[in-house]
Parts: sequence; structure tokens; C-alpha cells
Amino acid sequence: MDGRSHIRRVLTIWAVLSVVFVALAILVVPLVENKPASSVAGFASLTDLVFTAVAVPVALFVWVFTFYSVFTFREKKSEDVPVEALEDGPPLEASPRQQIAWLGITTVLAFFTVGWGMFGFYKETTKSAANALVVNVTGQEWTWTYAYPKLGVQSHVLELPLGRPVQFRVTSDDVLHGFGLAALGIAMDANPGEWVTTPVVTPNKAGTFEVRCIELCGLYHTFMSSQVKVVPASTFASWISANGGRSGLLTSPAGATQKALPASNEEEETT
Amino acid sequence: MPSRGRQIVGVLVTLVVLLLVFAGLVEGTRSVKGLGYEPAAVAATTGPNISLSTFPDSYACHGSNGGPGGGPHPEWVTYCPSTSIKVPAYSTITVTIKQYDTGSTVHNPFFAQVRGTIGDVMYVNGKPLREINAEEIGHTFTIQTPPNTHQAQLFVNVPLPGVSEKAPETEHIAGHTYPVPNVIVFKFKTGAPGKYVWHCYVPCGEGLAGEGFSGQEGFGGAMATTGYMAGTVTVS
Repeated sequence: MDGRSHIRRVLTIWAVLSVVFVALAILVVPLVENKPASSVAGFASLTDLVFTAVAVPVALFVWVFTFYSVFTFREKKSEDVPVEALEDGPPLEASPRQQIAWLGITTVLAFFTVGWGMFGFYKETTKSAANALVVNVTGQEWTWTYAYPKLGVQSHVLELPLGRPVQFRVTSDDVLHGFGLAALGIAMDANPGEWVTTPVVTPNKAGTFEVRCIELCGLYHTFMSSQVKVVPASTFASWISANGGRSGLLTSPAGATQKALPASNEEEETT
Repeated sequence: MPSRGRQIVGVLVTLVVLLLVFAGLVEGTRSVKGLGYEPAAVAATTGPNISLSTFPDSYACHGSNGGPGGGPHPEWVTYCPSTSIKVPAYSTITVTIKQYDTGSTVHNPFFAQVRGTIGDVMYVNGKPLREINAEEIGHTFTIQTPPNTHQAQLFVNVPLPGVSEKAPETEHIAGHTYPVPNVIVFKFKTGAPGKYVWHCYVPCGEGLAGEGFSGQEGFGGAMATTGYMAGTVTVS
């Protein structure tokens, strides 16, 4: 078999395996992903899916060529020829066409990943909304505290109105923590002594989701979790009232008229 | 053994090894049983009278007990001789800590207050104090009740004043020189048997990947590692 035949065979194996494993990735990745409950989380899930689908043929290309070469071109064991007498194969020769193809493909892939991040996440994370609900999140061993400074409520359970943009301001009362709300696509460091602001996200799916600490914070780090409940706006207003808050200051979902709120809530936001 | 048989055995062994590796990964990522690394040579400190020390490095403690040259992390700050403390139930516990390290700032001034000791007081070089300057704390000794447990609550917080940067280094321990320590004494009461954890809350650990980022300095490995700036208190 000549060199071209080997190339054709290995490319065929690669193409078949790529189709199979890309299809498998498209089926499996959504199963292991968190179910997104915001457009940011949805884009993050899409990114996982697309990048996996793109990475599979690249990885297979390397593996198929490696294993094919190892098994096809290895020196067969022969009792007539001692190991010491075996000779190396012919040296590789530079092929400008292959080098250009290799550089070209990897360059395209690199620009694709950069462009995806720049345009996709930039678009998602620079959204702003005038009526965003601000939630102050404070981590401490081993709990999360959620304060709604404009509504006068504090809770260990995070409750959010469906369809209302929300922005989290995150800090810690003791050591480093990480505020991870995968369902909404939020992951933010909680640093003692400072507030870090997350992008504005809008929950688009009602349900109960999980908040986890995503920064190793010491013993029992794995116990540091809580729940977030995304509920209809009316349910949220009732919950605010039931907790002694000022539900009259609540706005309806995005786009609706909003009552005037205090210009600053810095004093209320401090812990 | 014929070649075919060896191949089959090889395939089976490979599958078993892969299965074990996979099971180990699954168990490792899901397990919440372990509390983390703790040098085996750092023995438990037992009794109603507990004596501890804090050092700016690990030479004095892990060097002599946990291995030559300061153990696996000679530059890490550490409590000594043990971070595994055992005390009797329904008892008054007296803790004496020699604090050899200098001071820095704790972000949350709550931890600058003495809480949970008898009278909410500690004695620093014989002087009673209820609170110290939050910018001059070497370490804290903070006992907490772990989450999701149904045992008696226990909370003790004692801030340990840092020694002066200019203090003469006249103490020779395990071949190394340290300043004259602040000696802190306090008492607390235990209730029913239970297992608790303690931390230092002063950002004193170097080596975090995010070192240099605002707000993240000092929260490196020693802060979250048993055997150094965290440990257990077993009441039995």
C-alpha cells in the first residue's frame, strides 16, 4: 500500500469516527449540563456544546493518526533480526502544503474561539437594565445571605421574580468564597472586604435551582450551598411582604413601569 | 500461556484498571467524608489544658514532627504542635497559645472580638482584653459547629495579637529563631460530645493562584488546610 492509500484510509477512519463522536457529543453534552434558566446560562451551555463538537474532530485527528501509525508502521517482530539490528524508518520530510494546512486550520479554530467569546459573551454580559433587581450576596462559613436592599428583606434562600433582570453584588464576611449559580450562568468570586458586581441576568424559567460555593473555602466547603427559587412576580411580591419587606416598591417584569426608588442604597447594602 | 489468552487477560486487566480509576474519580469528587490533609506526625493534643503555638513558618513544628526541613510546606504559617484537638465534654478548657507571628488586618472586625470564652475575655501577657485592633491580629483561633449537624452549638473566637515587627528575636526553637511571643490564655466550656472545626480567619496564607488580585491576598493553602491554619476539636 502506498502513502496516498494510507492517507485515504486514515482520513476515512477519522471522518467516520468524527461523525459518530460529534453526534454522541451533541446527544450527551445537554444531558450533563445544568438546565439553563437564563440567556447567559443558555449561551454558556451552547458554548460547551459547540466547543465540544469542534474539539472532538481535532482530538480524533491526533489520536487516529497516532494509533494508525503505531499499529501500521511498527517494526514486526522477527526471530531472524535481533532488536539491535533494527533500523529507524525514513525521516519525515517537510511538506509546505501540509504545514500551511495545519497552520491555517489551527488559526481558524483559534480565531473562532476568540471571536465566539468576544461577540457572544460580550453581548450577553454587557446588557444593562434600568429596573434590575439588586441582590447583595454575602458568603460566610457555611451559608449564603441574600439581602434585597431596596426592598428591606434578608434571607438565606434566594428568591427571584421570573422575567425580571437581576444583578448580584457579591462579598464575603470571612474567607474567599465563590458564588456559583449555574442555572443563571453566574460564577463570581466573593472576596472579603469588597463588593464584586455580576452581569445583569434575567431568569427565564421558573423552578428551584442550586447555589454552590465554587471556591475552596476551608473545611466543610462542600456543605456550602443554598437554593434559589425563580417564581412568578406576584409570588415574589407576596414573599417579600411575608418577610416584612416593602413589596410596594417592586416593579412588574421587565419593561413595565417602575416606581421611583431611592437614588442610593449604599448604607443599606453594607453588612 | 498462548498468545490469544494473554491478550484476553491483558484486555480484562486494562478494563478492571480503567473501572477502578473511574470509580476512584467518582468517589473522590462526590465524597464529603474527608476533612483534608493533615500531617500524620502532628499528634492530637488532648486534655482540659491545651497548649498551642503559632509560627510564621513550619520549621519549628513540621520540621521536627512532620519531616525534615519544615515538612511539605516549610514557608506556610502554622499552628503547633497539633491542629487536632481533643477535649473532655462538660468541662472547662484552658487554652494557652504562644503567638510568634506578626500581625496584619482581618477584613471582618467581628473576628477582632473575643467571643465564646468564659466572660468573653482573654488574657494577653496577663492583661485581660475583650477586643484588639483589627489591623494588628496575627491569627484567630475560631471554633465553629459544622453545618448540617445536630450537636450542641459551640462557638469560640479569640484574636491573637501579632508580635511587633521590631521585637527582638531571642527565642531559639528547633534550630530557628523567633521573636518573644505574646502569650494568650482563655477558657471556654464544653457541652455534650461532638466534633467541631476551627479556622484562622486572618488572611495569613501565601501561595494562592489569585495572589495579587484585589481582595484575594493571603487566602492561600495554609488557610484551608488542616495541619496548618485549620483543624478539628473533638469533644468526648
